[in-house]
Amino acid sequence: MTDPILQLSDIGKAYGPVNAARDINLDVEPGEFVTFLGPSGSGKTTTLMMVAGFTAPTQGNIQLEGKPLDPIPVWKRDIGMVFQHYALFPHMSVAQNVAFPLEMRGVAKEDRRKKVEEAMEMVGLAGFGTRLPKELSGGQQQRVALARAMVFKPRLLLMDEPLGALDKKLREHMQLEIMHLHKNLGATVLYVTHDQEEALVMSDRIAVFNAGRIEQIGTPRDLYEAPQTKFVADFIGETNFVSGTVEAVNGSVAKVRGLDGQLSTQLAEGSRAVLAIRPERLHVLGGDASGDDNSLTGTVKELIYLGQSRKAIIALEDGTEVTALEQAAQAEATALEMGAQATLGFRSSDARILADV
Amino acid sequence: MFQSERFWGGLRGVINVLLVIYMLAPLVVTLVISFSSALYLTFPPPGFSLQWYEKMFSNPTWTRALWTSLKILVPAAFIATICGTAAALALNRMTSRWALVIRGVLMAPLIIPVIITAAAIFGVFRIWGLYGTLHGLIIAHVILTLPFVLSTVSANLAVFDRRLEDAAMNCGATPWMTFRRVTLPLISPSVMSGMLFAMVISFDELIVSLFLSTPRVRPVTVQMWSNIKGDTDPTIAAIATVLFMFSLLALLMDGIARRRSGQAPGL
Amino acid sequence: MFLKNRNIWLLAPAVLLIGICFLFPVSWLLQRSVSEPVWGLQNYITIFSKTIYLGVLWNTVAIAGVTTLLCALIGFPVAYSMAHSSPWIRKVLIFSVLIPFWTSILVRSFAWLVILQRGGILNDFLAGIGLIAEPLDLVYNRFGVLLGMVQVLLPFMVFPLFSVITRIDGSYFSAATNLGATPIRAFFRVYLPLCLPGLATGAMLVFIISLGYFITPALLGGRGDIMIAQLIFERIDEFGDWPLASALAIVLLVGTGLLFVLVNALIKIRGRGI
Repeated sequence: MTDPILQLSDIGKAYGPVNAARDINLDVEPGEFVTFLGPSGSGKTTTLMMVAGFTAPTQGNIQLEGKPLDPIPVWKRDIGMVFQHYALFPHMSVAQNVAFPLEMRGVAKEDRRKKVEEAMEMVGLAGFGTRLPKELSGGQQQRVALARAMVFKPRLLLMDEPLGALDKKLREHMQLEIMHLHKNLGATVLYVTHDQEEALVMSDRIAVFNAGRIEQIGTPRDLYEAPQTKFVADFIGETNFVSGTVEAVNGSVAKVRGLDGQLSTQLAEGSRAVLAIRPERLHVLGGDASGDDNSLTGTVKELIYLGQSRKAIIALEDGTEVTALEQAAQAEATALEMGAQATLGFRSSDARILADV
Repeated sequence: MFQSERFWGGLRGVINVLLVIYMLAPLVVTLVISFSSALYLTFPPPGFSLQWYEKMFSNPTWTRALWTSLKILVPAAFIATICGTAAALALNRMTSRWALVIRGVLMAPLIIPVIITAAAIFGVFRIWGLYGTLHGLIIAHVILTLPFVLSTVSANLAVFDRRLEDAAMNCGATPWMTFRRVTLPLISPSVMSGMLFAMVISFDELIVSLFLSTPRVRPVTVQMWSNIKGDTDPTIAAIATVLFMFSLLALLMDGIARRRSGQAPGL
Repeated sequence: MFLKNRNIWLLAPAVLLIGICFLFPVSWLLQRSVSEPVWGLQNYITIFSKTIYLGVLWNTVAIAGVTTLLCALIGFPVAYSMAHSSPWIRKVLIFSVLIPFWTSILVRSFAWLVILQRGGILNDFLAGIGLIAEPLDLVYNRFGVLLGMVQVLLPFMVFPLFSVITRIDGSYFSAATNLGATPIRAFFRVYLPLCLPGLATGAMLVFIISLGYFITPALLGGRGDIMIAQLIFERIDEFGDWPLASALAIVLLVGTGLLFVLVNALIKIRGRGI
């Protein structure tokens, strides 16, 4: 394993008594694509702004390539950034925009022209150099912003909700394009978004932010399959929660409401907890339920036909509603009727027992 | 009769014509008389002549007064533009409650009647030995024109996207480079119009100048004032035309500058 | 941080200039008004007890009031016409109202003198067509002052009105007439109340600005039309009577200040209302 290129150690930002971010710890490997994911006001943008240098941390320190970043002003940090609404200079042509960071670094004119051309080509905008930003579409402006942030080969590339202003289709297209650029250039990227799908698609690792703190850092798969907190399980994907108290602990397995699940963090017997289980891991009994070692019973409240799959909402005895999602083939094998009793099964290895807060 | 469209339309037409006459006739009359060949104020003039302009430019009283006015308005507008723009930039960045108080104080010379400012400045400038000096007049004109620059530039900064400055610094621009390459070019139309209007106001200013000037240092408006009160001859019409043309030129330049930068023309 | 320090340096020149050369002189004026010849309010008592000064104060308020009224009476049809004319005519009207606005008051007052004086253009013309035998006194009296001041201050009335009128839907008026109201009644009951906010703002602006007027009344008025600003000038220029002039200036300052606060409050209420 190589040394981390960026290290955030216990950093935080307080505005008076309000903590916009606190206790942020993160190591980023060279070439890694790390996403800050969280609802608005969760501290993800504040943290990015501290790395960029627009906000000074009130605690902790940041190191880039092993050297402390705090005493270095924004303009000497050599960190590229794509801003939320691109922040292209409206009085400069596209080429002048892209050339700006090179000009500020005193790159010779001829060299500058070549590098700008390369960058423009890289983002697929060759030949657009003489236009003004306002003459370009949203997606094209986005590419110019990318080119400007990458043209000087920054040590680190920051992106603050870069796709937020684009429509869904273009957003999905740009996600792939940014991923390709990242792979081809081997750049290290910190990416901020509140769109969990975007985070899952693009990232090597995701840091989930909530109320100014990082709840969990992990690969998209880790976060989806093994969330460590109720917030993460809830924020990423869809999850069923069955709440109760921890009845028994046996190694890494615990019991809540008579149901077994994996423990991701230590929980004492008797403490409040939820059992979290993804809809696609719940099986309607009657079909293929091999390996299921837990079961739930309830009344069918809602059956939703989704073409390739079927969604069944089932109310448990205490009124908790859980959702089961089954592929079409499975669904055909297990006919359900509205208002009828149904039994759902799942594997204890698919369920997580999490502290209920 | 009151019901008919034609009556109301006609009435509106009459109102429009009367308004245009009321607002513009005095200016037109002045303009025309300044080119009169008659030796006294008469309208319409019997013929065209440039005699009053010749008279004006050959009379040392008028040329000296015009020259004095220029020596006041250029430095005054320049200082007011720099100080006003700097203050607008600072106030735009300040979030504290003090910003509002400071802005109010800086705008005060525009809001309170000029006669008060004039009397007050005259009182202390006499003590400080600035009465009757070019410096005193320049300072006084800076006080009067600074609020115009401040409000024009502030209005522009209010719609200025601050993230452009962040972006520039992120690209490696020092604060000074950020200001020179991004902020200043983007607010320059308003700085320009602030300066133009500062010049117009300084050139047209009478009340403060009336208090501060002496026969030795006397801007053109004060000279005009004393002539109007005495005998009126068409030379004053020529001077008035010069003053009017100066305002018109400034308005025109402002319009061109704004159109070029894609902003709506201001008032 | 460094940004904060920079702000102080950016503000310093303007604040020092205004502080030393404006705030200090004005407070100096205030001090003189209560400290000379002896400490006390005697200068203010003089202003509010002597007939000449009361006369000037009354003149000031009266001229400002009538100017405001005339501006409203003229400004209303003009603003209405502006709002309902073709773009081309609108441009001409805006131009006509604005060009004088950017012209020196001195130039405009001079122009009125040329037109209105006894041997002036208007009298010549009227005598020429045989309408009058003797020249009329059109200037150096209240008429001249009002004519000049209304022309100068009209933009302050027209533009607030114009902005309100353009927002009023013309169908209100047709609806009212449809329901049986005569046009004149519809105007007073429906249209005018809708324009009231603009009218109020414009009227306050015109009134406040008129209070401090100096050049126009001094050039176009007679001895009976002296306003407070002119009195301040004369007390200082001719008599060097600083205590009384200072007190007059402070009276004017407080008067306009109070009205200004009132206007701000009014605009705020309006902003919340609509």
